[in-house]
Amino acid sequence: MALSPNKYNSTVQALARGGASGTGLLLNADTLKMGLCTAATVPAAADTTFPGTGTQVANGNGYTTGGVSLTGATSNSGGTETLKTTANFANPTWTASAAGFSLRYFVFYDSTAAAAVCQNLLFWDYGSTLTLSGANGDTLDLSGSNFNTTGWATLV
Amino acid sequence: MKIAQSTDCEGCGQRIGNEDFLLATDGISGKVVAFHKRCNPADPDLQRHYSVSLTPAQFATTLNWGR
Repeated sequence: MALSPNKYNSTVQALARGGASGTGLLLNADTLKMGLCTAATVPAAADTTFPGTGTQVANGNGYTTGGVSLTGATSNSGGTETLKTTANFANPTWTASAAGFSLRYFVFYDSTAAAAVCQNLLFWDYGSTLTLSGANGDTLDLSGSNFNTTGWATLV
Repeated sequence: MKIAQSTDCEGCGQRIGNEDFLLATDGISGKVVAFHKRCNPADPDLQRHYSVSLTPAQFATTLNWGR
């Protein structure tokens, strides 16, 4: 199943601030995470911190509060006319245990403390509740996620 | 996970690929086999693997001046 991203209002703010100010997104230094939320409430575009209006999956049974840190990032940028940065991460995975857990939203955010004013970056909606059975050790594997930014200047 | 995705479904014979799948142990040979979730094997106690692909987000910043 392929899901399209939803942007938070703070996403562009994070990109505009960059890393120099310590309050924006710095792909190669910040701690970026993928958290999970239930279907209880819908994440709002105005949310700036995780989970915001979302309802995070309870700790335990295979999920750890805050989600998983995204690792193995490779990024590149190049060109002087078009500035582009792409970050690709190792697939975040979860394995349910005990009572298992249910989720609906995947939230990509910057957990670096200094980025708290514009922490949230993207969220994806599974479209319905996904329940992982702990008894069977069900697993969830997210793939294909990456984050592209492109900036350019125009004369008008 | 990657190994299962490169094996064939015991139900339809097609490659598992990047789809939700289930694992089961053959009661006779003891070999672990994989099924597509859509192939719907009857045993409800199978371990399920959900594969979700998150499409990338594109952002652009335009700077205007001289207006």
